[in-house]
Amino acid sequence: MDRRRFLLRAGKAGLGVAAIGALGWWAHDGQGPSANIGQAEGVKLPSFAVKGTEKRLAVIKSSHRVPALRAGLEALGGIGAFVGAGHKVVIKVNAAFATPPALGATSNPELVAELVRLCLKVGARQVVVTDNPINDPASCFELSGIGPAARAAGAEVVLPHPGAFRPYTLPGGRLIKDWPLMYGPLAGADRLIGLAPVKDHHRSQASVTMKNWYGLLGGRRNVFHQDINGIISELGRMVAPSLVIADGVATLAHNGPTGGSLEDLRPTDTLILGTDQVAVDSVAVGLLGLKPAQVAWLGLAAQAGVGTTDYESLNPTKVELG
Amino acid sequence: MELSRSQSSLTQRLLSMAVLGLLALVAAVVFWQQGRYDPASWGWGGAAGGGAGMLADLAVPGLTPLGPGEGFTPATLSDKIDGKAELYLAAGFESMAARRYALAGRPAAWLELMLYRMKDSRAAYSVFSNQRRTGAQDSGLAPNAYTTSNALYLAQGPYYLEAVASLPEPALKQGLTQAAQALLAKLPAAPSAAPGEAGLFPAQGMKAGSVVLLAKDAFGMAGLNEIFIATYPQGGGELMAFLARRADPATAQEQAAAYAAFLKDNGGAPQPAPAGLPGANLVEVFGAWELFWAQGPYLAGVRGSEDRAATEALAQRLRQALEKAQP
Repeated sequence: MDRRRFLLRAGKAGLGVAAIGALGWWAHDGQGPSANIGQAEGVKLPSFAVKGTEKRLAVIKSSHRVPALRAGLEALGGIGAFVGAGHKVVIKVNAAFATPPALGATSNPELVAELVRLCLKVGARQVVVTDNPINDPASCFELSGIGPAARAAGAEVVLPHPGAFRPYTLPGGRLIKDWPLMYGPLAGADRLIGLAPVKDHHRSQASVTMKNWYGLLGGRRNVFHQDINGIISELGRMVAPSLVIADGVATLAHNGPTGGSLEDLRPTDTLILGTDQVAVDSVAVGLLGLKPAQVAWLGLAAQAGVGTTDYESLNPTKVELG
Repeated sequence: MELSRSQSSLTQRLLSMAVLGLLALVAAVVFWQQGRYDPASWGWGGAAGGGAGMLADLAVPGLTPLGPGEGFTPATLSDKIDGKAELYLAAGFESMAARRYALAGRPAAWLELMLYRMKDSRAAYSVFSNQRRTGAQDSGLAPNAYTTSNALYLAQGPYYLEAVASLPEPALKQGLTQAAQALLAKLPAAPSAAPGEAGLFPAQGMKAGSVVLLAKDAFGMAGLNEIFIATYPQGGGELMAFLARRADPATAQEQAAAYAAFLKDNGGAPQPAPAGLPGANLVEVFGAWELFWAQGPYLAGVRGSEDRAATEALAQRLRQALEKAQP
């Protein structure tokens, strides 16, 4: 081969390599995959917090949920402080699993029903009970007892469906970006109340009211388990609720978040209600034998300004019903 | 020797075009697939395993199946058990089948069988032992099987069964037992209560049913995998003995040194080895004692107690047990 031909061929080969590299560069998606839900328009999640109710916290000691709920709401100023005539109220329950209520892996149906009744009693025009469960939604709501109890109390039970999800990006968020949010039940809502059981959690140590917002996400959300503390703190930033309630009357103290055996439960006789979800969860983790400083996601949420782990600074109302 | 364009044969040119066409096709398929990226399926393997077949055929006397059942893979296990999936995935999960059965005429009285297929019997023992309930009763069905007031759990071969009843009723508990018996007839026989080195812990004073296999990152140390622990009540507290067989003595030595470094990095204060345990690592961690060593291919130790004398005494017994095992 002569020099001229060699240079010509080397040049062609170089151009070929460069072209392939350019093609790869052009096709490269630097942002990575999003949870594509079609062409739906993104949404913003409004604050559901009620002005004038900030930093309220009540800890009720009782082995009976319904009287504890009534006493707790009374301690916070009454249900009327949060729900008014004509309001659409969304109650975000934990209906994650198709398990019976006795196992404590889901929100207690008696508590759900009583909360629905109280909201309707003060004039709410509509009460929606919803969740996007881990298991089959219809089975979860039926077998957990939440669906029948909520409907009997006058609520509308809304199950997830494809049209309910809209892309959502948490402002300044690291994980929740262009992710499907179950916005349908929240559309037009005036109030949002979170109602969650207190549970041990294999990944996050504890699952209480902030982790409960996980049930508003859609898509392959299990990818977030790789950064469980990060996602829970972002969930706390994502939702500004009107009120959250942590049910620790019986705590799922072992083998959470599913449990399975009645022996996984421990009677802890405590219902915690408040408007600061970090404070509520900080009280709740104590029922699992943990201090707030031992739970990473609480620290992250507090750092992000979601609330305080120093719940005593809120001067909580403590009531013992016996 | 070189060929000019005119010297290339028709066959060579056709072959070249075919190769280039094939490459173009591969590029087009990659591009098309990238546009249809599904984060749910990318990078995950696994398919429903044999467990699904076992439950599909399983009849339980007096109980009616509620539907055909479900199957879960490593990619979908969290759809069933949420964050607890990590426990199974870390241990070596392959597939899970679930099916519900109800008492005739009583839809609220039901039980659910969840049959996990793990990579091997050690993995099955790991998830079984990690979730053992306090106050559990020996079921008598298999070496690794117990009941609680509403559930039955067992590990046999590479399988782990969770059978959970919605209510603590005798009829449902009977259903749990019958379902477990029917499944056991299909599962490979299990020769012993716990696999491998678990049998080397000193039996005297050991809390019954306390042997647990930690599959991954034991004691918070990344890479400290496949560690057996056993609990020994001591006064008002407990001592924990641990044991792991490594590929060779050098690996056991390396892990002992790595664990010592890990403890030191986390506030531990190394102390001189006790006279009766030459070569051992003694580390005080915020008032509690960690005493561990490599012995042949074994990494062994005692941890977590504030009672140094009791820690050393149990360590001596563990060392002697290992000497007997590998004279």
